[in-house]
Amino acid sequence: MEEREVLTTLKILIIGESGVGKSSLLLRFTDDTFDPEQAATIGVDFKVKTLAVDGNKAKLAIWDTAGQERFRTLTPSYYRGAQGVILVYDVCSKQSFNKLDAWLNELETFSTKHDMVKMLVGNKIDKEKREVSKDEGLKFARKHHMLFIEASAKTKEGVQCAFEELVEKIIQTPGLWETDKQGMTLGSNSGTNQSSCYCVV
Amino acid sequence: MSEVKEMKDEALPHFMELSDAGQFSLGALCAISLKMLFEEDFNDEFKKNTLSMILQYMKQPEQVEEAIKAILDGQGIDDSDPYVDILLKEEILPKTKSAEPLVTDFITMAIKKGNYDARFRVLIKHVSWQLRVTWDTMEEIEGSLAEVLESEQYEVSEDEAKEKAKKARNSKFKRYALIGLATLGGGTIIGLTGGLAAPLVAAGAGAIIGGAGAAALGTTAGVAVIGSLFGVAGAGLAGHKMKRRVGAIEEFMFEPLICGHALQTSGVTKQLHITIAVTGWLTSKVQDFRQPWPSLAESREQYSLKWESKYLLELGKSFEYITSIAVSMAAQEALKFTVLSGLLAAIAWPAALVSAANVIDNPWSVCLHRSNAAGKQLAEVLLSREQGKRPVSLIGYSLGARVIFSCLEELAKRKGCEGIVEDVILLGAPVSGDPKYWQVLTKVVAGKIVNGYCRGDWLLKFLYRTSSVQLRIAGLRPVKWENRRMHNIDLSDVVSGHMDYQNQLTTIMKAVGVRTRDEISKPTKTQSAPVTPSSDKHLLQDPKSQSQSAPVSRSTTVQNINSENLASISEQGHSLPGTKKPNSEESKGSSSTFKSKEDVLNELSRSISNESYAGTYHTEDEPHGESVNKETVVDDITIKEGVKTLCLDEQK
Repeated sequence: MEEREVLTTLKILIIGESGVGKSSLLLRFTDDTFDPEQAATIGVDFKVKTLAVDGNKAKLAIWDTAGQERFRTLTPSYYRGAQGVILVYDVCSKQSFNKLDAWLNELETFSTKHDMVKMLVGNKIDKEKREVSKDEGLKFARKHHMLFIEASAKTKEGVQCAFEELVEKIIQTPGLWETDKQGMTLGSNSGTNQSSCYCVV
Repeated sequence: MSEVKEMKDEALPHFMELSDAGQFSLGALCAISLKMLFEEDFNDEFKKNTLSMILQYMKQPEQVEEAIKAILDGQGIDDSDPYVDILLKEEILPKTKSAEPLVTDFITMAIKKGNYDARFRVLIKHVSWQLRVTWDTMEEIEGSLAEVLESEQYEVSEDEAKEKAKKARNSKFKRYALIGLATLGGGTIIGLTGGLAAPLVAAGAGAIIGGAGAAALGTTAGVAVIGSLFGVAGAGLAGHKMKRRVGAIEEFMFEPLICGHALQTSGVTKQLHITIAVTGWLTSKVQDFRQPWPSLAESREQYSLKWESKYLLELGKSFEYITSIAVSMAAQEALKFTVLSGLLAAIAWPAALVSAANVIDNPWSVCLHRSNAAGKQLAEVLLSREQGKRPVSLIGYSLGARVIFSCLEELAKRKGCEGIVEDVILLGAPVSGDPKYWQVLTKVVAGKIVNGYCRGDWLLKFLYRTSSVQLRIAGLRPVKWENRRMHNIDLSDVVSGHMDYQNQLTTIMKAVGVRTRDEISKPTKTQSAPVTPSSDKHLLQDPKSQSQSAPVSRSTTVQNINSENLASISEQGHSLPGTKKPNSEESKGSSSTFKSKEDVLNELSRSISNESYAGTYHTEDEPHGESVNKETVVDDITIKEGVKTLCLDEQK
């Protein structure tokens, strides 16, 4: 029954520097767990989760890539066909923020869907030594036409919201996704919120 | 999350030397290859089991397992290049200058459980190729692992000899009746090769395997494992006696086929892969089933099937008779105007040929039926694993190909048929070329299916003249079946008639990519050149050597064919079979110009094939087939203008 209600399967990619908390965000979202000693991802991690947005159920196939340099040659091969990308930086690390440009470049080079929805996530806002202000993040997101949110995988804050916003925006983008079933069109809900703006929390 | 799961088996040494990036890449590479090679539903279980076994041997954390399984399910990407790149940069590889240690580990893993699945071998072949390990090297590794297994067994058997003998006695001699134990001498066998084996160890391979690989194998490989791999108590195929007849077959047995010494009977060493060759007919000159295969070197342990010699000899004689009639007709000029023009329509066969037809029709139909029955018998043998649990490749021409096809059809109907047969090579096969009969073979054949055909095979056409399926015979045209397994190879330029499948077998085998003797004994190992003609981006060489190596490796094979052909030309003084350009002068000229039987037949088949080129089948050759075509066409140029032209041609 549940299978039938799923509107579509979306491929979501999580990228960003090593240690900014990509896997933690994913695990908070899919399993609602948090491990402060989260080990470095080897190669890539893969999770599936069904998410209901505006009454539409979407199955998310989430690829969480490894940030470490030695896996860097692998990541581009996962970009293909992704409808949504979550680009993560650590608000307590200016360096991870500065690297964002490079990540976007790579994304431009290797992604196959050019209207893919991009979301910038500033992680670890529970920490005290903040090096990147919310304004800086917001500015960067605006400049590159991205959604933006600040979150903390540790305290749950903003995690669910980040994924929901991303999926909502993907579903609102015509031509970016296809229904799993034949004959199903965009739901009636999708027409209402076309003028979505950048989400700020 | 990242805790290492408890492993059932100890890890393999070389896998563990890889970095985590390397291990991940190897897993992903295997997943992508498995997905590509075995996309059919019935292979799902095999794919899952194999992949989790590979991951277990590398002790991968759960996170990696999940991701790699997702790749296998087709969630991810199917581009293996990034993984190959990472693997080739691994630290352990420079030590041996190639990925050989990894291949060793793979094979060890594959045979550890006593069942070397044909699909696993195809996977290893594919992965090795991607890791730039040549086919020769892989065979060498297999060979030396087989050595290790055999010596292991020898030791064990001495220890346990007494006890086994006691047990055997207790079982009231019942077991003596079983064929497997014909060689019984304390239960286990290997006495005869225990001594012979040692000198055969290739120096290179011995070094590759070294202590570690062999040790990993030795600790787990018990007598049971070895017995299972190599077949019932070692008697195996050579000891096969027809216990149970399937259909009316009078003769059915296997003879060891030793490369280079077709008539030698002893000295077969146990290997991890075997090939069975099936002969199509016998003649007064070729009365032994092994005789046509002197240069076959597809695997190191080979057998020839001896079947229904009485009937096949009769058939061969009628083949010769009908051919001689055709020749005499050609001399009377009748052939050119009736046979050549009317052949395709298949209504105007020359009267002389038709009146002689009863000579051939009867033995042919008898042999057709018998080949079906022999195929079923072969299927029984393979299913009962008398050859051991190791992959089998089958090669046959004419009715031999029909035996194989019937065997595969029978296997496809049975349970547990997967993973037995690896490659299948059918030459001039008198079976239907309708893809619907071939599709069922997906389940049975793990590797490739080669259909070598000749458009101008007038004898085969004649045999099927009354049947409506005439134009759909696999031996006359490509099988239009879209599958990675199917390879159609047009042999029209090599084969000038059905009899050539026996006479020119060595050349044909080279043309279809079967390994032959002078290829393996070649001292220069072209390690850098990949075994399979690959898309060039896979080559990990600098562009300069890349552009050179490919043509060189190809031109050597062409040269082989050339020298053969040249030799045959100088010996017999007739023109090349299947010369491409229709020589108008010759066909207009009077029949008195025909000098020999071969000449006439060449002319005959040439004209036929020229005519059929105009037909509809021409375009749909497999890429592989085309390349062979190209090579053989190039032949003519080379003969006239020397090898240099060829190389130039290739570079263009």
